[in-house]
Amino acid sequence: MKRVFSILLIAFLLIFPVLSVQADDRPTYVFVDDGLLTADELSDLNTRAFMISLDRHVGVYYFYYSDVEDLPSYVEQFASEHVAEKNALVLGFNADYYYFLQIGSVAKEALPDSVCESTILDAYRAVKGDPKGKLLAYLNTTDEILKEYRDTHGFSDVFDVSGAYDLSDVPEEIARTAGGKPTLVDKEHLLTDSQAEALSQRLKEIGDAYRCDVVIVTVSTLGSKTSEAYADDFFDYNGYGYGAVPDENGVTRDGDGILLLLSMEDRDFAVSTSGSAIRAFTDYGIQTYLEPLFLPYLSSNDYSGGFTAFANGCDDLLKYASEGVPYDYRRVYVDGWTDSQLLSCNDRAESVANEYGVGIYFIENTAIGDVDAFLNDFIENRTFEDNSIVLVHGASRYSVKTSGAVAYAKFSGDAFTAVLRAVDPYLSAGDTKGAVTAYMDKCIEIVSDYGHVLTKGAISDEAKNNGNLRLKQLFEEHGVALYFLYDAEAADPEALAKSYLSDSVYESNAVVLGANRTGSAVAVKGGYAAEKFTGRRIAKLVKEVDPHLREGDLSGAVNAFAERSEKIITWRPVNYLTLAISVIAGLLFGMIPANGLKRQLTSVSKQTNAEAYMQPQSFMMTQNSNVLLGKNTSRTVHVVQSSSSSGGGGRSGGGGSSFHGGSSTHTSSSGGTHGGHSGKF
Amino acid sequence: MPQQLLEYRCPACGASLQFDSGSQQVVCPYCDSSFSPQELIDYDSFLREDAKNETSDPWSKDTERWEKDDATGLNVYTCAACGGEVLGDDTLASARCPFCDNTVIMKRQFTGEWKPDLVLPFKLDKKAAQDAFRKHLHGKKLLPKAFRSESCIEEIKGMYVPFWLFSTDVSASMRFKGSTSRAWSDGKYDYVETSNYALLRAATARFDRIPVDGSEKMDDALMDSLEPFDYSAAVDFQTAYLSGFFSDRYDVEADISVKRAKTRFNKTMQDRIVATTGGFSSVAAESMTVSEHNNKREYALLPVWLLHVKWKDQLYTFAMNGQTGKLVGNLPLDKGRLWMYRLLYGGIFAGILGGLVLLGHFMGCGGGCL
Repeated sequence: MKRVFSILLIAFLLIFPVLSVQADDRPTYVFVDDGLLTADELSDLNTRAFMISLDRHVGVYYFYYSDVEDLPSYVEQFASEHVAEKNALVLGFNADYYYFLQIGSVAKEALPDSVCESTILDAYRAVKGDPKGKLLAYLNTTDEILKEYRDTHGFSDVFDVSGAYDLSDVPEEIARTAGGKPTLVDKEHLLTDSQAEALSQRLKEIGDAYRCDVVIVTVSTLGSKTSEAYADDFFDYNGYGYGAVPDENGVTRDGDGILLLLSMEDRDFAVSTSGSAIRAFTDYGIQTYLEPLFLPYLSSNDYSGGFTAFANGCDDLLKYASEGVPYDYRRVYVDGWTDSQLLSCNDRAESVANEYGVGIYFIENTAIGDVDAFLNDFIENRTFEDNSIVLVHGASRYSVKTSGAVAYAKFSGDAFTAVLRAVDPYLSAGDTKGAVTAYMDKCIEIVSDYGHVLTKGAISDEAKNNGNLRLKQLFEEHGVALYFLYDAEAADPEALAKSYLSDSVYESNAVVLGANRTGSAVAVKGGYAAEKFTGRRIAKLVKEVDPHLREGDLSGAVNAFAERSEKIITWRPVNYLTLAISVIAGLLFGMIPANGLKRQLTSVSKQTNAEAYMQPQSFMMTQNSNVLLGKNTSRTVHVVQSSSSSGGGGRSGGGGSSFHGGSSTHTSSSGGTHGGHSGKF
Repeated sequence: MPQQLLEYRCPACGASLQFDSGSQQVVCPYCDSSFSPQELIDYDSFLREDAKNETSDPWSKDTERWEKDDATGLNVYTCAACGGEVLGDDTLASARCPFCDNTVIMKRQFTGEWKPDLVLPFKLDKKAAQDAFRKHLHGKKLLPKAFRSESCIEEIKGMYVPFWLFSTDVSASMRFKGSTSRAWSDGKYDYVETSNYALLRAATARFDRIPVDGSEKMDDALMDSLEPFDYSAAVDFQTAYLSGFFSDRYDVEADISVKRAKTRFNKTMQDRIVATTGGFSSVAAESMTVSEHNNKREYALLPVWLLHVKWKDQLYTFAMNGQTGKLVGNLPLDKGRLWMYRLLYGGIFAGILGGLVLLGHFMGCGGGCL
């Protein structure tokens, strides 16, 4: 109903002569040599043609230029200059010939040459001596044919809210331009005038700064479209996109832009990206950075706040992209590589991060000028872990840096040098692929070395390895990291343990045993570990470890530490509730035999049946039949049992993210490629 | 008409005769003569012939007087042997004189409609009853300990209890409503098809000699519990079998007793028919009709040893099937011992379960495996 109304309204406005100025903004359909038709006649014909375009979504064009020589090629040129619709029919005349051109699949199917040259041309020629009448006959006949086609084929090829995209007659207070294309189309009037003014200005500034259209649209309804499709179409059909101009080969690339669409009917929103914005606004960036910024505002109906947050978020993400690396869930980014190339490296880095809590990052982009500044900023804002090692390769040089106590401890001294040695030959030779592989291999080797037995000499490699394996196993089984730290010269074992615990331990539950030649002390971190390692139990642990230390038997001390710790961790208090329940159940079970004894005392009871007095074989069935009375069938919707899984509980805190880095894209009805995300607010 | 108190006397020495359950003979406790019941019947009819001929008929002598004591509702009989008074109610049919232990039989209680069709003679004697009682107490853990030592058998008497025996051909028909269901799914919908049936069942069966005790005085449940009796040992009624035992005539009419028999065979028919209605997911009985044919009822005297046991001023009644030796009777419960056993067994089970929990805990599954 709404649609019909809006079409009628537009038609009414267009016919009204007072508003005929508006006709300048709409396509012109009829061109003739000067003097053949009056201005009023032309206007009438154009209005009729525009009506057809609105009704049938096919433009019907006509020209008569008597002096054109190569008619077919001129018709092509005419079409590229004047045709505004996706589907159109052009009828061109010069002094001698006529030529039909169909543009778009609908026009080709609905108006094949056979139809044009018989039905349409016949109608056109049937009118004699009246140029306007001839043209009207052409337009009306074509309209008839298109109407019939639409009646049988529908409008599947085009968006169904035709007027909704047309910004040409939308008043300025709805479509704020701030110069150029409208950046804010607030059809729902969610913002006040001053808010809208400021916002459209801000969007325009961001767009200009990063050469990327940033657009916000609010509508009442999506018609039958999905929010995503609506946003894509709105973007495409209104010609958004920075840099969407044909190059020298006549190929127009998708323009760069991002569009936020709000539909108030079902509170849908969609973010559509296009062109280079697809890479700048990765799935991860949109869903974990952008949406958390603006969605809370929208949910609480603070649209001004939400749109401002969206604008700021776009600013941030465009900044990240322009600086070299789009905001993404990726640890390896090499400018120029495809998503699939990056994927395997990222997966590897992510699994390492999940397992050991140390992020490994490799960034290469010649756009990065100041490598060190970028590196510091990256570590500050863009790493996902407290502990990480980051290599940034910029235009002229590369730099590696670690952050966090654990990463620092792992990559200290020789290990750090080993990383540089592994990577340098490849980077010098310009072999980024080799560099990434070597870098990852070396870093993983270092990170995965579970060095929880930390001694300065005095212990054999074998004993150390065994101890590490044992402690690692305990950590994997019980989630408590155990460290054995030996420094013969340390003055205070307790201080040793405590400082290591606070500086170098990244696990949330950890126990550090600090030891010197004479004794040991224990420091504990994390609620679970503290619950297990109580003072009394620690005292027992220390008492078992110390004799080995005094004898200088470090291997024995490590074993004692591991053994006692395992006992402490695996000890569990008796579950008194279970015990009580089982005891009560036992007591109740006990009633059964006792009550059986009670029944022994009773031997008097009335007989209820006469089974014993029935003569053997005298029982005979004389009738045994089942009569079907009727059947009824009930039907319920089949419910598929989905297995529910509960998340969380993992020690790494990684969570179940499905992001693999990069952006997923889809193709919109207009053929443009878009990225983005949609949902409800 | 004067009540005739029938007394069998030894043809040899004139002493009072008794039926010996062991030898199934009538014996004289004084001269050890023994007679088969048939001999005695013949002798009896011979005496009757005599009595007809002689005026000095011992049975028509004024030795069997009875008078009704209006105050107590009891009849007073005079023992033919010693002249002592025997008290008895309206139904008393045979008894023993409390003074001289002679058997007295009220002949009038066995004439006309009160003539039993058959009698099942005693197979077990008083001693067997006492033994059975002692055995009954054996192995009853919750019986008060003192009951065994302190209880005394106040009275033990062999008694022919009047029973009605009902025989009949029963036809029963029942109607049930039954349904079956079948479920399937085509991926989009789940279907359940329910088929409703009327189940028609009819059956016949022959029931033989369902016993129902016809004595008001006897507890129905106690008498029921004595079953079964082996009727193959039953003989035609002769008063000679009553010698030495008490007996009553029925005082519950057959019309009333038959109701109990009906309840029993109806239940049996119902159970048997319901058992044929398998294969349905739900079955509900909707109606049942029962008819009987070829009904036959018999009046029988069945042998029962009654034991009255006194303990702590309370009387406990036990009954023993005089034919099979099955002894029934509820025993007192020692509540203290009941709780003792409950706690004992409860403790054992609780110990086992608790032990398993603790074992599971220390074996490493954290007590969560139970």
